[in-house]
Amino acid sequence: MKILVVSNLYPPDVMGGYELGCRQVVEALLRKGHDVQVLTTVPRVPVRPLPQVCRVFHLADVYTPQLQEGLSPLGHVLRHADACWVRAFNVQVLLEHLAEFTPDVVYLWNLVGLGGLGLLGCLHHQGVPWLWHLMDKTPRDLCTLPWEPGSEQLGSAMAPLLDGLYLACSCRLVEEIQRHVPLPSSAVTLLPNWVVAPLWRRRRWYAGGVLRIATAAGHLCREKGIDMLIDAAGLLRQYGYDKFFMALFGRTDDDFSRLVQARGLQEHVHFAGFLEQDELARHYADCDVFAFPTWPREPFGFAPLEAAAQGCVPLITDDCGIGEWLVHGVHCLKAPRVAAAFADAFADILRGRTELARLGRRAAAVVAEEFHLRRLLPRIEAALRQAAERQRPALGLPEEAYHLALLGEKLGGALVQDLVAC
Amino acid sequence: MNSLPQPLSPTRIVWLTAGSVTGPLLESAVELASPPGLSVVVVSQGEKWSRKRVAPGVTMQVLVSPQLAQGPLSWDLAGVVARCDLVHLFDPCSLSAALALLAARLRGIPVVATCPAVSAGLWAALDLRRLAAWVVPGGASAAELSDVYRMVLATRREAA
Repeated sequence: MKILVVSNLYPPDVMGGYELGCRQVVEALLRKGHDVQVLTTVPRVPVRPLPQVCRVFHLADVYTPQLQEGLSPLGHVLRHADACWVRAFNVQVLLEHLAEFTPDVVYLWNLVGLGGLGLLGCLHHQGVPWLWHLMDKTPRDLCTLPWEPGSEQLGSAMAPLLDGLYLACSCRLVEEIQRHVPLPSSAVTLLPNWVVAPLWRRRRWYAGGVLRIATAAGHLCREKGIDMLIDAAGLLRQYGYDKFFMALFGRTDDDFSRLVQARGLQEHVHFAGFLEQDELARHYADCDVFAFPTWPREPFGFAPLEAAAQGCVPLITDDCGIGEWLVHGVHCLKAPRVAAAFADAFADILRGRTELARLGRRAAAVVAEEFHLRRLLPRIEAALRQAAERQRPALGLPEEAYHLALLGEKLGGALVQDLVAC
Repeated sequence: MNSLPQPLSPTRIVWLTAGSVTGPLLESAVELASPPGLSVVVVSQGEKWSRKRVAPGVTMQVLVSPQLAQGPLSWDLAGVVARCDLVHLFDPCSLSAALALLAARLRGIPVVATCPAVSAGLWAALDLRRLAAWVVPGGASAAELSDVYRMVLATRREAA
């Protein structure tokens, strides 16, 4: 198949798991002999050129925190409109690639920052079939007005543009999108996230002694529960436990180290910086528990699965996306998202009430068997084939699609200008 | 087994006007819809939603539209447009006309516009007349409009 992949970011320009997952699938599809071209944005950092990757879209960067700081409320609205609605420039880029590459199917990933509605409108107008891999509430973000009332109407108005096929990593994500956007359930296939990293030989299974706890995220932030995890470490100390060590992998802008100092936890909590996935996997093989006290709207998250593959037992928030795929007490541990609950779970392990080694072996086995990308790739290919069959005649010439994009961009601008006037 | 013959659904035309609906406009709509097989929905925008049938084949619909700095704009327009075969923009320079034009063309629905006395707004800035299937002069009679609609719809059918 000729597959045109569209993603806002593409490694090594990364924010988190969404684009890392995109690269893993692209590489797997290339290995299977598909003709794949990636269309993404001009990188935010210098990167080496890759033969199948065109970094030509313009990105409305809503991801770099430093660029968001100091923006007025109006600035946020303008940035949102730019990122989510229509960027005629990017529509023109897409049209040119559609003409040159003539894909059988377009494989959409995260469209925030690209003027995603414009790209969807273009594909709809040109009758190009697509499959959208959802690892975040992107359709909802695109159809949201920065001022809340009216969002539902925007979702309804955009319904024709959303007529395609979807892969989604959890039911909770689909439900979250459907609360604002008419996404037909029949168009969605559930597909979990995956692992690809090699398995490392564990040097030990936990049987008492120092408990090694890891957590990792592209961006360590409050949504990922980092402050809560530090609080849980503090509670463990209050309970009288000191045989534990937490390693936190990822970039952070928050001043969590001050919190660590304030709790007197310097000997127990260590910020280990950002590591590539392969390096992280090796660390997971040396850790006993992967703590994932993430917010309830976490669609899935790759990291707990990657840790589980190495026998490092995930301890996850009991209502996050990955929780739909793993069973408490069988492959993982679940706890309510409060520091005390996580501290209690750690204490149970330290007291020997939770037999971690057995959980770890089962977790590693199930992940290797059910969540490896080589097992999931045939389902992705089948979804791409199914999407490709939905090709239909274009509603007009590419020039008209671009003209409509210009109109959409200006209409969005008019709405924002109105907000200024108000 | 042969299926039962389906009754032909009437061709549904949306007339979008930015201002208030005038008597002559309604008379034109009534005249246009007098032969069976064609219905006209005259859409305007206001503070209170309403919909009423004013004659056989003619309905007046008022959409609730927040008054933006550049004119009223209702998201419901997209839904109204979605259910028709042809859109006629009587005030193509208005913001709501631009939205209706976008919504219609994204569904492959042809758009006819009445040539404005003074070209302005996005209509002028983006040369939107190129997105319209036909531009008719102001004051075109119901018979003339009927001919244009028939021709535009026939072209669309051929393209399909």
